Amino acid sequence: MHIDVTTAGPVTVLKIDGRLDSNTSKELEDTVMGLVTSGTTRLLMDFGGVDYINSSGLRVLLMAFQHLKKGGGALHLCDIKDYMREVFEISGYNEIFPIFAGQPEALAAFPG
Amino acid sequence: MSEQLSLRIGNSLPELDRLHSEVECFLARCGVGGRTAYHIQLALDELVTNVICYAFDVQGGHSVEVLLERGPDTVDMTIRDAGKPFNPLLAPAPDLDASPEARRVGGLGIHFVRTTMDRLSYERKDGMNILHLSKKTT
Repeated sequence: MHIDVTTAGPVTVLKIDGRLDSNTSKELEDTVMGLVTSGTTRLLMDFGGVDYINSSGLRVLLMAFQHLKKGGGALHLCDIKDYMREVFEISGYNEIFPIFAGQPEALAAFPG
Repeated sequence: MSEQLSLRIGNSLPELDRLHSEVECFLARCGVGGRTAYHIQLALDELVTNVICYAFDVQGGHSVEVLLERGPDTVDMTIRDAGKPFNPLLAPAPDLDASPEARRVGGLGIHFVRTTMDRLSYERKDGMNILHLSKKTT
């Protein structure tokens, strides 16, 4: 897995490539926790390059959401492949994180 | 003769990569792809991860047997381990109605397996946990 960190105005963008599984989700967790503790409040995760996610990957997303929310921030997700969207629905996570088709829509939807 | 894959996976997390790549090749050979292949990979991943993390007191030194068999319109799977007796099918369902802020982190793996597989059964036999799974491919 590879994570590319960039910014778009006030939003930190994580472009994730590869598999989010039990062996790689800790790396995402460390990246996210590093950003949150250094003041990031608006985070967009771009899943365009992610071809697999399991429950340990989803666990990191929920944790990121909970930490960002505590600081008044938000987590948006975009470009999740259709076959993976289903596990977000099965877990009810599609109602927790707003999921967008692409980065432009996801960035535009962050509040003021 | 139907396609089969028989694997012995060590009880350590890095072994999950080998499980994934072997299963990927097997499913490609059987002409199973897309959503169905993802469900099969996910179910095996979640269940074998549980065995690696919880069935034995320490990681390493034990193994999990994974057997996949291509049926006429299914992929049938068996996972066997000699760890502590544990029937994952009896694990409580996660509370999907809890508020997002209070939602318990974790507990989703078995829920995915229950939701995506077409048949599931567990038996404890001769000191082994034996799980049978079946996924329709048509």
